[in-house]
Amino acid sequence: MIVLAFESVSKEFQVGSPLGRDRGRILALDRVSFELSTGETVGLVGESGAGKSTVARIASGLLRPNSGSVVAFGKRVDRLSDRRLRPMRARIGFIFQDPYASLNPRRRLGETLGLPFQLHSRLSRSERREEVLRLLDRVGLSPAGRFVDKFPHQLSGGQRQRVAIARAIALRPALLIADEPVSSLDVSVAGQILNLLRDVQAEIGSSVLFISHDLSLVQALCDRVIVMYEGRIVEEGSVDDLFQRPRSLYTRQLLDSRPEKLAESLWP
Amino acid sequence: MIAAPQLLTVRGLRVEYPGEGGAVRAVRGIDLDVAAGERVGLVGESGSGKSTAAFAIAGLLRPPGQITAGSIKFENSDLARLKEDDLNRVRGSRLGMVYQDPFTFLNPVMRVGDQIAEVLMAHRGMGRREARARVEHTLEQMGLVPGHLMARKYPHQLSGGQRQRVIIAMATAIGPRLLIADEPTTALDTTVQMQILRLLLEAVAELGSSLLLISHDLAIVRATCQRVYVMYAGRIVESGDCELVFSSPRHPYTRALVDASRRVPDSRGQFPTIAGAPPDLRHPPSGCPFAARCPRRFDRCGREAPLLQAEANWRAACWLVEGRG
Repeated sequence: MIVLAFESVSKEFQVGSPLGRDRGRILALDRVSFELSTGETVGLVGESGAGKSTVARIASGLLRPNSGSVVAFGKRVDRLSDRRLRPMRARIGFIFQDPYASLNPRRRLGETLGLPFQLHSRLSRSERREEVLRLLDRVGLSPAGRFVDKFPHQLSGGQRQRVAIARAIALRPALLIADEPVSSLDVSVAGQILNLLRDVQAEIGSSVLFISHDLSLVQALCDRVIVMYEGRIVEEGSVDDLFQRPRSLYTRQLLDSRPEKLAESLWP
Repeated sequence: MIAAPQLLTVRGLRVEYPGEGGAVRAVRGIDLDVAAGERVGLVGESGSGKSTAAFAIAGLLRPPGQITAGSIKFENSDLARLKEDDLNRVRGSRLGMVYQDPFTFLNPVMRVGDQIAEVLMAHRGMGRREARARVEHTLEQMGLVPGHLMARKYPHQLSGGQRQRVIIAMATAIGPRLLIADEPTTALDTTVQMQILRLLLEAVAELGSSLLLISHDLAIVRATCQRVYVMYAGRIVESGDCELVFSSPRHPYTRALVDASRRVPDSRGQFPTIAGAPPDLRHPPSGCPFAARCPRRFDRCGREAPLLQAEANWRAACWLVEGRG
């Protein structure tokens, strides 16, 4: 079953101030088409400005495209009213690069994690609290009772990303969008977060759109890869194909700048 | 083999940040050498003290950080004891620094060409016209073409990679003997990262200067440096030839770091991690700082773990090295 389908989606942004000299438009997405099936993990690779995050925001209805169609769970996301979008959003979980920026600094973890249930379920206050404690335990923040009243600034980077994962999986979403989830973490911590992410995905059985610039991670985690460059998909295929037979020049450059190739590329 | 003369010799360097609840002992007595023309890496995770060490060496430590012990011999002077004026002279003429976030170190209201020209006039005694001409040449060497147009740009008009090129241009314009680069490519895209590293290596080779590269990224250090120091909780836990240290690390922390950095899941599909967390540096343990997390610890680890010779040009602060030679 198809969870998410983009067909020829384009998005334009105004840049510069309306009165400034640098005013102009940039085409952030240029006729982007792809599909994501149930249970599939797809990597979205490209550099900053390639349009990866724009794809994520359009998929969840946070942004509307200028043209093309976006279908999530059988519904045209790009045509839904804000009110009808809300139940759709409950089916998509987001994990961002910087957990500190994505968590409200003034809310205790209990409030942050209780919010999805408050918005999208009919659970009572005590039932919500129970769910929150269960979530904290699940992401390894135990004893949960000790974490539930903490604020984000009292946590380490890795712990904050655990909270972000807990929030993303709270409603057992059918689609998880992870935008560079470990690039701001130390390698020793990144491994823990990746393991957790993989475990919860397997439990929930959700599809994952994994946005990353790290090809080794994409290779380890994803079934398929989409490579974007300047708003366009320049290559798409299985991980093995992409690594063995890259077709676009940009993909080849990406492969050459992988850690294990770095020395070769620097000292030709 | 005739050893190249030492350019930088750091001995027993300690840096502390005083604060409530006790001073944070960020750097706890490190020794570090850089020979003339040598490329040396300093790796560690966040909080290891690597950047603090680099800033202390460059004389750019920001208050309340302070050097509490040790010496930093660079050419003929001890930077740890120089007065601000003398330090500025050294920094301006002999020692260049490349930062992780170039934006904060560039003047936002000054054209980049003027900023480079200022360095040339202040430290190389050039006149305005000579400096201007030199700026264009330097910018073009850094791949910022055409030089006369790029010189007129303000920092915010440049991309992250272009700003890093400007910083490298400024740092190398003075013809330094030592270039200290603190996470120079961390904020950049991977393909841009490679261009910047290449540029750094070319600049260092052309000037015949030494490089001290600070990074959390083992692959970058391995690809660019000849020797490496691994820092953990304010101490050097292992040092030596890059290939030796990274291919068969002796210290369990280096071993764990190397495994985690590869980002390849094991046979059970799990990514390697390091359990636990680094010690609180307000109250560092007296023995090996990694002991609490180490899978191979034994009684002796609670006491001091000295840097032991593993082989020629290879040391590890681990009792396991003893007797293996």
